[in-house]
Amino acid sequence: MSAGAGPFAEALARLRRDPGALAGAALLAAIAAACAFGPWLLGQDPLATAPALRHQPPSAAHWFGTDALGRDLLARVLVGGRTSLAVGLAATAVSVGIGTLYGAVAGLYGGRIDELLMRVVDFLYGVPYMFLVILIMLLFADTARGEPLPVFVALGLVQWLTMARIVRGQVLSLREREFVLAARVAGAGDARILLRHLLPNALGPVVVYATLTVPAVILLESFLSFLGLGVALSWGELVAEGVSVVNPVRSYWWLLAFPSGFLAATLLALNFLGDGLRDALDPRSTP
Amino acid sequence: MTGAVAVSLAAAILLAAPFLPPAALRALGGLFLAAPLFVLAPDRRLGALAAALLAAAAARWLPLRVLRRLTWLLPSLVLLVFVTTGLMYLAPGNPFANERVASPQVEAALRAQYGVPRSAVEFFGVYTRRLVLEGSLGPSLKVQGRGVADLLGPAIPVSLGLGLLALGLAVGAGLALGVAAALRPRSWLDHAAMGIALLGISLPNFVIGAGLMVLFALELGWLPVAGFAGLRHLVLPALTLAAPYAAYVARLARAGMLEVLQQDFVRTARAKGLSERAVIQNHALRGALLPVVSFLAPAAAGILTGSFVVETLFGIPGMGQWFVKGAINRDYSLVLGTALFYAALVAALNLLADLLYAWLDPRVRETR
Amino acid sequence: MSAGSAPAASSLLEVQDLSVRFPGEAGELRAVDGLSFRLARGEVLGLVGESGCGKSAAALALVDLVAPPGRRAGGRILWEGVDVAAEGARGFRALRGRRIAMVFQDPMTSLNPYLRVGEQLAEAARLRGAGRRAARARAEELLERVGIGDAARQLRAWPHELSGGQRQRAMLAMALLGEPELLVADEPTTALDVTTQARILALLRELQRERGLAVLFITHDLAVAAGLCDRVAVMYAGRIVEEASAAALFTRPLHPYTEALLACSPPMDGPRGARLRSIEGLPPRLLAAARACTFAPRCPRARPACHEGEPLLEERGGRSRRCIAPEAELAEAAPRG
Repeated sequence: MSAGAGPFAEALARLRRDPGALAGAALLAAIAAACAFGPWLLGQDPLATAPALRHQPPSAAHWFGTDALGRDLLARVLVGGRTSLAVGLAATAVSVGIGTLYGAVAGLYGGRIDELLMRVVDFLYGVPYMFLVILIMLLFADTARGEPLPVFVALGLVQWLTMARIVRGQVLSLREREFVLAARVAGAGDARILLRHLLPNALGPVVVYATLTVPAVILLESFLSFLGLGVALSWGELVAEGVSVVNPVRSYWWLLAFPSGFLAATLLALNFLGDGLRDALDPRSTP
Repeated sequence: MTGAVAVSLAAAILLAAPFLPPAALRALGGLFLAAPLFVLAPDRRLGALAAALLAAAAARWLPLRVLRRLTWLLPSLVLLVFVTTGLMYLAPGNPFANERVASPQVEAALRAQYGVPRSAVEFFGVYTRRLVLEGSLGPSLKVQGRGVADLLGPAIPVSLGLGLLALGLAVGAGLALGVAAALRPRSWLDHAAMGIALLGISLPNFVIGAGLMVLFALELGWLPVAGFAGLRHLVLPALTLAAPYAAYVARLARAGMLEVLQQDFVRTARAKGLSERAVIQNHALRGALLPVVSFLAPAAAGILTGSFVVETLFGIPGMGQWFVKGAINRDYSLVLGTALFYAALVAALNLLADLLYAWLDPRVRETR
Repeated sequence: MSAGSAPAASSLLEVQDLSVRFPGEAGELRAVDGLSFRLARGEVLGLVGESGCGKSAAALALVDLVAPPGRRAGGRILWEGVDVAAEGARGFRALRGRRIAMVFQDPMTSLNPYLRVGEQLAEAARLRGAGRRAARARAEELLERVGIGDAARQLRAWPHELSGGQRQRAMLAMALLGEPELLVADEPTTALDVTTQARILALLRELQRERGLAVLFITHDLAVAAGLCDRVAVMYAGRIVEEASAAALFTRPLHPYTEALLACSPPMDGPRGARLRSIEGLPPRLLAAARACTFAPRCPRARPACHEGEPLLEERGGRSRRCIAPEAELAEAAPRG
């Protein structure tokens, strides 16, 4: 009954049979590899400006064309990918960390503590969250512009609530199972029970939700970029740049198309993977 | 003083809410529902009377669950205002620091004139007192001679119109797509619909907006590009806002519908001899609707916040732009005004969604 | 008009060689495999068997409601002599509710929880052409008839406000509102407590007599079948293994399976402390056509010939059996009172 090979191996097998999830995973791996190693392999500098080469459409020298300052777009997209993926992962890590701890404590102790903790969550749920995030970013824009850390934290703060609820639910239902009682009888303390018995079994939905949180965070960051509050060089910012030059006279379609393409591809891949994980862990949830 | 009291009271009510007996919940819920009526009424005494009647009626007739939500409503708003005030005070800069004449006496005079003390808690007290006793949102600290209400007034219908249009589109299109997909599972229609839905949630809405703009406004010229001079100007922005939510709704509706179609009572309906159409319309559809209704409140909140971006993209003079301007200019009253509006709207929508859900699923209704 | 063999003229329903299959990981499972029986107007036929023998699948197949991916895989269903499938899906839809009404096993889930009881019942009445008012009136009338007191108020009730017994009565009322000629009851009392069970069965008997309904009563409970049915068919591994009048079946079973089933119920007058008897082994799950007697592996009377070919269902003297053991051998075994 405890975290053994059984249920996870089964889920993994189901996952392997899901073409959507596999395609998503492969795509994700490809994009991540491209972003990690691409710029180094191709040798183009994302920051090197070349005013003579502004707004060049895609060509042999610049596969994705150049932007308003003559910078190579391909390099910018790949390096931007590093930022966006890092932001996504970091913010998700923050939300998983906080949410899991919070939810686990609420679920384990139950009773009044649980009520109280969940009351806070419910209240926070009602707050128009993006509103506060945007407010924070706007207020601290001058000092924090382009800095990733406040963005990570702000975005992570938005997402931890649902994680807390999920973990709490899982812990509540697992708490009464025999293996927990056995552990208690053997003298295990609360922290030990939490770490070694409850959390590993609650892992499933946490993993699913985390996989679905990363794209949500990347999207949120792109909104912030659009408002001028995002992290320095990210897909969100590149897309925002691309949108800002939309005009009826000249079409610099590559400035919008390539970053959007990468963004969409990554998010699609993550969503497919997340859906696949959810189906693999709980086959009853789809026909 | 008032500020500190208000905040402590609000926090206390929020924390105590799960432990309060039903009678207290009824009283507080009714009271908090009626309070805005009192605040907004032009005639104080008439307002007090109307508020009292509303409070009594609500306490008597509304289901307990709704009253419980209402009990949190006002304290939440109070705390939200307080937190926002705190954040603004925390941020560098203040409304008067940018004035050319920046001598301390002038600043003190300006502060006194506008009622903006140096401490967050004091300002909070002033603000709340002014709101409750005078029903006023105060003067804008940066736009000379205009009150916050004057500035926000014309913007509210624009944002509301945009939001409601977007919500309607999202629910309408999403339901249609989701139900159609569920009725032909694993067909090309199903895959196509779910593919489109997935795309909708994988692209930032301003990209979709830019795409729509390029296609329908610039290339085809069917719709105006930006600005606001009538309903036509809201079409593209509304579509843009609605797109990701339509996608979510489609997924939810499909999943809900598929689940319901497997239920025993649908089999019973078929066994009665009903046409497939009647079975779906009268029996199965509710199953698809329930998850969508649960999603309505978060969707509405999301549409509201998404409107910041869309209003900026399409140049729509809505609440979003005042919020952004106010934050950048450190116009505290303006920011608080927009915050209150948004929070109240989200709360109202949550309530509506609750009531709607209870109407659809009688098992959830409580007996008095 | 009627077609086919002699008794068909009086048969309301005739099922010939019906098959229902369900795809599975190991192949297609034959839940119903060559099922044949006849039901006359006004007759109460019991279909008895262990769980998993295919009885519910057969019932659903009668009105083409087998849930996909399961499917009706063969055989003919004749209603008043006419092949229903001839008109495709429309043929079956014409039968549902109006000629054949169904009552299902689980009253908790069979009623729509989102609609009031009255609405669901009235819906059935309206299918028969009644206007809104008339439909409500009829619904109320029938609720009274099935024993739900204060029917006018219960019309406005929600299904979750009714007890299990009341829900099953409401289901019966709903079935009857369609004015059917045949009522298929799939284990209608299994989910209820014994006292309620007895009352619902009594109600069923009354209604059947009143309206001259034909009833196909599906159950795993022999005692219930004995009390209610005119004839009983015993089903095993997807097909009938014995059919006879209720009286004859229970006093003189002519198939080892029926015999074993009857022996499983401890006699009232037997010795105290005696061990409960059961049938060893499990019913088979058919993935391919049976090439031998399907009961043989568990049969105390099996002989080599049983494993060599499928026995056919043979009719004699108003009863049928699917067994090569001589009648005499079974008839002389413990007679039951």
